[in-house]
Amino acid sequence: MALKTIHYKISGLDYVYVRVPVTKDDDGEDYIDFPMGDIEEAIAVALIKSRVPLRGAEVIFLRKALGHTLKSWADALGLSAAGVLKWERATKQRLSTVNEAAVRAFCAEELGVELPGVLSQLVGKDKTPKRLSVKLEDAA
Amino acid sequence: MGKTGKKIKRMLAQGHFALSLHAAERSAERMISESDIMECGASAKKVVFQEDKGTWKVNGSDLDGEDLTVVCKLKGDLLIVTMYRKS
Repeated sequence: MALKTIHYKISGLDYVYVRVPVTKDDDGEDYIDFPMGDIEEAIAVALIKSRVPLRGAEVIFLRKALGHTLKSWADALGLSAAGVLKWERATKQRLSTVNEAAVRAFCAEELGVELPGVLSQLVGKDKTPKRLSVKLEDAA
Repeated sequence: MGKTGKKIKRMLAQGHFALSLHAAERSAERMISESDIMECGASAKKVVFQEDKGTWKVNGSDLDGEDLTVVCKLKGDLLIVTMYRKS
């Protein structure tokens, strides 16, 4: 088994790279020897802790990584499913400050990540990173 | 659906699978999560063996109810080769 840094495009987030254990199967095909859900959790934790700005693309990733349907996610945030879908379809559009703070706080709670309860720490940085390197030990 | 098809469905639904590097890095589809794959396994009505490729094609739906196809190999473990949504 070898460790390899891969561009984790299946996340839908072009800037996410993850270092994962890789093994070959009997046909010589490389596969990731680590549970997919744990990789998603590590990415979600990194998005929250690193204060990555939350756009539609991040919202859909976080929702699915936390195993929520549109309805269960919308219900948890006190929104309509149509409203959440509108966010998600605008993949490159950043959420409003108050929505971003609410989504980050909700995800932090679900992931067991402690964040300072001040607005400046719940809202993301100015720009989406060019590269976010995720370590699997970042999972909560 | 045969015995192996049911086994594959169950393994997907329970999250007992591994992702190929190809699927993670070069899949044409973006944003497919473990939950989507598990839901695809749980909802699949059709699991077909593709003899020419030695792979199984599982047709189900994702977490949001959209059609999702998972192509996998069963060699002891279940390995996901690729995934795609209906265009």
